[in-house]
Amino acid sequence: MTETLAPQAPRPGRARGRRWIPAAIAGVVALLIVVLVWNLFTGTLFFYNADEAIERRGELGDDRFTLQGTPVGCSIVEGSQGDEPVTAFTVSFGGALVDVVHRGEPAELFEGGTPVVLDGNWVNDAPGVVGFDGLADDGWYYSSDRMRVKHDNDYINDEEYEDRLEQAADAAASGDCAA
Amino acid sequence: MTHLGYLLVGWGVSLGVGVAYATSLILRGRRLSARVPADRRRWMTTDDA
Amino acid sequence: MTAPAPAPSHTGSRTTRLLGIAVVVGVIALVLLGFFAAPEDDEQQDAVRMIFVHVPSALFTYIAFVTTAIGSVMWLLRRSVWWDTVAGAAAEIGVLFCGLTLFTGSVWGRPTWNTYWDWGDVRLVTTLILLLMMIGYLSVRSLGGDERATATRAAVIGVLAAVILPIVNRSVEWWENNTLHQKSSLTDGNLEDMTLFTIVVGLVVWGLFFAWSLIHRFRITWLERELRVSDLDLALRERRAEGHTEDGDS
Repeated sequence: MTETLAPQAPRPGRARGRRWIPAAIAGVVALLIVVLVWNLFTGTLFFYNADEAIERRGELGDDRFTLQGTPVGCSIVEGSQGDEPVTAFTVSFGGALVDVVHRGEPAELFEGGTPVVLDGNWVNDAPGVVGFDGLADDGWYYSSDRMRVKHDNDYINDEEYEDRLEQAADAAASGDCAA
Repeated sequence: MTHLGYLLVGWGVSLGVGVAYATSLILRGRRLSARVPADRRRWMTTDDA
Repeated sequence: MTAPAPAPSHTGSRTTRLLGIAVVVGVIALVLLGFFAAPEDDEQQDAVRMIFVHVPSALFTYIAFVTTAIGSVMWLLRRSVWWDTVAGAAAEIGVLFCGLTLFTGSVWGRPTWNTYWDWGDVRLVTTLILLLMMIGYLSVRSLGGDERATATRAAVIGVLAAVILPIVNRSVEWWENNTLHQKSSLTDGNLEDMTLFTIVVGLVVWGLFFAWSLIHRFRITWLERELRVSDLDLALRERRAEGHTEDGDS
């Protein structure tokens, strides 16, 4: 009779039957983590700054890569080729200049002085955008089809900011990029 | 105000999720308290109740 | 001699009520400051107002997961049930905050970065990995079975997740060429006074909510454990009663 008093194994119930759910979640989570770490090491976002991109132009060839640089405000020219909007501008980084032709809508915050991260490739040719005289003007341009903005951590309401933007736009309109 | 849609979504979800989580905690607490014998709710004191 | 007061039928207390009231008042103040008092940004315009929910969520993600790590270590070293309960409670709240960090960052990213998400961005992806690790932690905790073994398995994950916290936090410095994310707004940023003040108010509100949630969640886990014990007692009593009956019958 003492056997009936001893603790017995719990009967399989709904709670035990559903134990596979957290186990499955843990397994899927572990798999996802592996995929994400692999994705990070393959460096899909890794970008070259403008000076590095020029240094590596030979090895990059016409492969797609990601470029980072700061648009020179007075170089920006917006137009279109057929139905497609085109924005041509020059980016700078580390003292190097790269002429860029971006096809598609530019980013909402795109403006001179705010760094951009672009996806595209080198093209050994003149940009061919009406009104755009690239500041690099070295026979190459970077053809981009995806633009992201890499804004900084300054959150300032500068009263002179709008004035400076207007001055840069006036300088561009007059073709005086040195201004 | 610019970007109002993004702001409403970001703030709305943040505050909404917070309220939903807080409500779920209160309800779970009430449900469990009703099932646990009074002598086992040991963190609660007479003053604190 | 006075009769003992009846045990309350909830997990609240005077402390949690005060915290709750402070959170509600704080949220109202934060909305007013965030939308009407803090200035817009030159570049981002009003989109910058997302910072007042994004930064507190991110900072309290770290604090919650550090709390989990401390609780996990205390479990591993001292087998402290109290600390294990704190670790589990903090992890659940941390997952909530981490999810909100990713969500608000993504919604903020669309108008400012021109993308909701980038799978190669080291800050975004390491934060997602952290979130997944802590979801894994919660899944392991809910596996059931032997409580001590479950707590030990979860504690190992809790400590491992803490190891990647500094990687997430410093990623924008260590891999500058792999992220769109700006450097720390609080330590390296250039902020307007009212912007900084509003962020601090946000941090206080999130801190109060974290404390409120932690206390309630801790008590829920405590009640769950007590319920298991009392159910086991009841089952044993029933088995004994059945045994006596069978003895009497035989």
